[in-house]
Amino acid sequence: MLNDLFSGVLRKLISVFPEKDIYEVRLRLNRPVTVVTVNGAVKLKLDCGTLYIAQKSDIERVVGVASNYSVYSVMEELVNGFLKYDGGIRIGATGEGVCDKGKLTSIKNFSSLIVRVPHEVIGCGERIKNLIELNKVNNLLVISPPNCGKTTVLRDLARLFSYKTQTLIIDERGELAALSNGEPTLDVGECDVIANVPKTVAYENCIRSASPELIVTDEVFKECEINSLIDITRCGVKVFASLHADGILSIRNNKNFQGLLKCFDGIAVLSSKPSMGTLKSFEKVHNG
Amino acid sequence: MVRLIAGGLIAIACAMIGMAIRRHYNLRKETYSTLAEFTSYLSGEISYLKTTVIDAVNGFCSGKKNSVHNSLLAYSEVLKIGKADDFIPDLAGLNNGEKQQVGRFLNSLGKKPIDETLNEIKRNAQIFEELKTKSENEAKKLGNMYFKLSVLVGLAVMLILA
Repeated sequence: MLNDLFSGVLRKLISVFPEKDIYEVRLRLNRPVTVVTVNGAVKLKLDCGTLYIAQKSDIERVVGVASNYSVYSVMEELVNGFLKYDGGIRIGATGEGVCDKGKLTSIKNFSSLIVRVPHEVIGCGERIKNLIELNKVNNLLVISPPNCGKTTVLRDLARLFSYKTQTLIIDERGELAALSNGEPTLDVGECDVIANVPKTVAYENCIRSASPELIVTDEVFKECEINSLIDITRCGVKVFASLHADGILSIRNNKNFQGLLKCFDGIAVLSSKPSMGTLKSFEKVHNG
Repeated sequence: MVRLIAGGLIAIACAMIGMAIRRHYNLRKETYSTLAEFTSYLSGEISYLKTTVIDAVNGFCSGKKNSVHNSLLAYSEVLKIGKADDFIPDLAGLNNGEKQQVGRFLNSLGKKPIDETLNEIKRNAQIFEELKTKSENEAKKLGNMYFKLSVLVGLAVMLILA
């Protein structure tokens, strides 16, 4: 599936790596292409030993395939900085923004793409699940810097809890369940999934219609999302969410995120060392 | 007798040439009419539903079969594999320059944000509407005129030979 995004020499060079080993492919216009694998980052080289340089056509091909050759149909996603592709692959895109009255309306002349490949690690959430049950945690915040496996762990937690709790995944970026024609392409157990809908809209609509006992969502960022989460937990619905941060202190010291500590009573910190998804610490927060 | 038969054959040949000319004009009319329909369909699909080009083409061509539909489906196939940049549609009744113009229109689709894409479709819709009207007039006037003329020439040759 990943190989479909590329063509010609680049496709040949990338297909050398097994897809299950690839975490990221980074294409920067007129610069070397990097593949991040389980074993680290590798710059692609041609047979003659010179580095493969990403061409405009390589970037256009990825955008073309991911948008089904209809860029207008994904412009809203692009404005938010990413594109979705089958199987939960997410493509971060940068380029020249086009603004209208101070609002970003489109992106042109793409300068780099970061193709992120999701990985399913069935069972990677078991340890955190046990800690949740042991500490009687209701709402869990999974935090770590990027590329430490937050989404993978959340997905597995959603799967594990779905068998005994009415679980709803709010998959705004299509990475948790990777719905394709309504069907999750990644194993999320018996979860209900709402995809491609802004979190704040999904929170409001789904609490009424899907009556979940547990909501699992990825990458909380905006203030409105934090406020919605606080409201949801007040309603008695449990929430498992993730947040980019390097530790609990960075949440405590950031006034925008302090509100989260009032509603999340469990915080799991992940690390990429020795391997992605490693549980660095688990803390029960007493928020009174 | 031989002259009469030869004259008859020439008359038939002339009538067939006339029919071929009329058919050419009718095909041009049909091609531009379908292209105008396609732009209108595309505009609706893209502006309201943001349907992708491939899905819009497949939706438009479903169950229909003239040279435009066949060409659009061929375009959709090469687009799926990312090799549509040099695509020239095989459209009945159009010369190479006109086919290339339609090819350029198809290749412009899907590469820009929605407003620019819709503007491009609107601009081409106007062109196709004008060419549709022109080709309808041509089919009515020139197509019929050449057909009648060919039949008359054929009859005249037959009479002269007889």
